[in-house]
Amino acid sequence: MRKDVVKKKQADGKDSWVVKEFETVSVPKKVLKKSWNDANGFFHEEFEFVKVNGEQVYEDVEVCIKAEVVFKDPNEKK
Amino acid sequence: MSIFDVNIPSQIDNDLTPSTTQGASKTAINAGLTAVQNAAASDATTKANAALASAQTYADAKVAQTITNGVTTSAPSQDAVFDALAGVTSAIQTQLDNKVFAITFFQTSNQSIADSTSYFIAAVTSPATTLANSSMIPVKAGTLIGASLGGFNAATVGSNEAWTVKLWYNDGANSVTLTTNFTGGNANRNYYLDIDGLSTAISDGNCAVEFAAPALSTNPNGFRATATIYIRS
Repeated sequence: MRKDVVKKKQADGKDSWVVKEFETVSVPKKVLKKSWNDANGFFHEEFEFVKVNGEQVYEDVEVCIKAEVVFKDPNEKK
Repeated sequence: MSIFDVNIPSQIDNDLTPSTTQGASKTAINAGLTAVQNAAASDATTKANAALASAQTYADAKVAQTITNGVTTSAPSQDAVFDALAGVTSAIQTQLDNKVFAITFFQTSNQSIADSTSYFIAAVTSPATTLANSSMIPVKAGTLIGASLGGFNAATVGSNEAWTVKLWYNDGANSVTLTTNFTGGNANRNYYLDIDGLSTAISDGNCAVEFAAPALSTNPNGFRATATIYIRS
């Protein structure tokens, strides 16, 4: 698991830390097949799940599994 | 000869019997009178017929076979009213047959929102930050026709940058961007955004709603999202 911590000053001047945790997980592989805007301007995307011999292909990807903002330095020793 | 021998009726008859000339005049007069009577009767009949036809035309014009908005000088026929009611009943029945059902996506926890991060909600305690079947709910096939998005902040209210909100459907194979202008992160209480004009066919499958937060000047620190989608079966 990988954790990113980025210090950030909020608009009101408070110090905060954006904490994101990433993990490598196996997910169904899919590729963008097409995208379009419909007559009313809504944007659509259509993906295609990748299959080999009818079997879904999985791939390992690093995904964000947790994301939050805290107002106390997470690296600070308790 | 006595007075009783005088044939008085015969005498009177003689007096009253017209001469040949007088008879001809009477016949002519009678014929004239008959002609006048016939002419008068014919004229009366013609005028009566004309008046009747006029009245009938007027009455017919007061009953129309159509129902037109703004027309106030004639009434629709029973047939036109019957057909119109049948049409309305049929249209209502069609609407009833094409039921619209709503699916609500929500989270129950207050969430602090990180910059440039997507939060996926279904019917969950905490939103997921990735799209996965475990964070989706099944939705019956139909036509997506609208959505209502909601935002709530129980703690720090965020800045008002616009978020993008998508509906993922067909088990994550499709998405439609519902809006690129959701500012619920800036709402203290009860932000709602209604979206109309959608007409998107979706299949039976799992769905989730993605709230994609941009880089924020101020991050909301107790955010809860809801989304209701409306599907016509």
